[in-house]
Amino acid sequence: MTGPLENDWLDEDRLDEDRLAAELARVLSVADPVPAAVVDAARHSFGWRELDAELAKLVADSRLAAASVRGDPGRLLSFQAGDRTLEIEVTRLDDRLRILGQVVPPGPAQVRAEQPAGTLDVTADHLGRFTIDSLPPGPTRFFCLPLGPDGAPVDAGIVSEWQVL
Amino acid sequence: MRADRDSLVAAAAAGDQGAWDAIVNRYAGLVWAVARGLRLSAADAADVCQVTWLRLLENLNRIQDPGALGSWLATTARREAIGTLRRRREVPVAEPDRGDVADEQQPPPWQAVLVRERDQELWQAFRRLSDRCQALLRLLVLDPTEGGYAAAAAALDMPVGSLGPTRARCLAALRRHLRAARGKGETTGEVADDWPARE
Repeated sequence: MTGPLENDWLDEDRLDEDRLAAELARVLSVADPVPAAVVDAARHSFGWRELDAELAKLVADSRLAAASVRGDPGRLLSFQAGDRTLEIEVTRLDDRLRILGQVVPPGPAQVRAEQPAGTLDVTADHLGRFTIDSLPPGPTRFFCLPLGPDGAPVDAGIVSEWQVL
Repeated sequence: MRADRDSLVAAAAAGDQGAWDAIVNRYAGLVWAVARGLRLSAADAADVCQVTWLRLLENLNRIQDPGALGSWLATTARREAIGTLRRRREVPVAEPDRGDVADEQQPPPWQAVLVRERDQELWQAFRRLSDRCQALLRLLVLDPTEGGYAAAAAALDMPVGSLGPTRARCLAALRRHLRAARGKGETTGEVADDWPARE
């Protein structure tokens, strides 16, 4: 197929910008398409919508701090919802993450690390501290349900914004 | 179009999976292009895409202007991508577009999918452009509408008015690379890039 349109697309002045852009769009869609798994993951993320917990916004992230020290202990994240705070320290060991968490105000809580691939439940002690030893990296959020003296949840709890850990 | 988009966001916020899927179909290419335009590997780009969609999900009820959805997604993806680059420490913080490309992680290999020689030439010429030109062209060829320009401006952190002239310079540079590869015009190695100097 060597009709004039096919043939001339490279020729200097005949090729207008929009035509080159259209050729590039086509080539990009073939050479670097959005992977089907990425689109599927986006569709399936809709299942994470339902939640009564209050959203805890990221208020501090050492990754975004101007100065980063070589060999620093880990990434420190701080999420806040109202007067509640969730402090998270992330340390990377090979291809796994170790999480040290602190619920503020301190107190017992159920904590769930949620990732699209699965969830992991731990308990924060009476000082609000919890540990997750081996978490795969990737998009993660923390759902925190503070417990009253009777061991029952005091309310719907808080959930952190999604972060890539 | 605008009414469609507004009602899609409202429907998705009300729990309509079909509306959510329609939003994903409409903008998946944009979010991917933002991440790849910042030179993330395919694996990191996939994480950035997923967290961007999860962020939209948790903010569906808070989206003030559904018409600006593309810009919101582009801004969120850009922020996440730059964060990922910092975490990887592959690039100086001030210049997120100078990342180390993990082309070997990029499926599928372009040689296998671009069967026509001229398509391969175009892809190779594109890859020789500056990172900024590549990022800009990825976004603008994907969606050359007004909404696409607004999203590209957000993704590139550039004024929308400068996109058109820059697009023209990047396309001209692309054409020069193509001609050089074909032995037409310039015959020596480097072809000027034409990204406008920073002020």
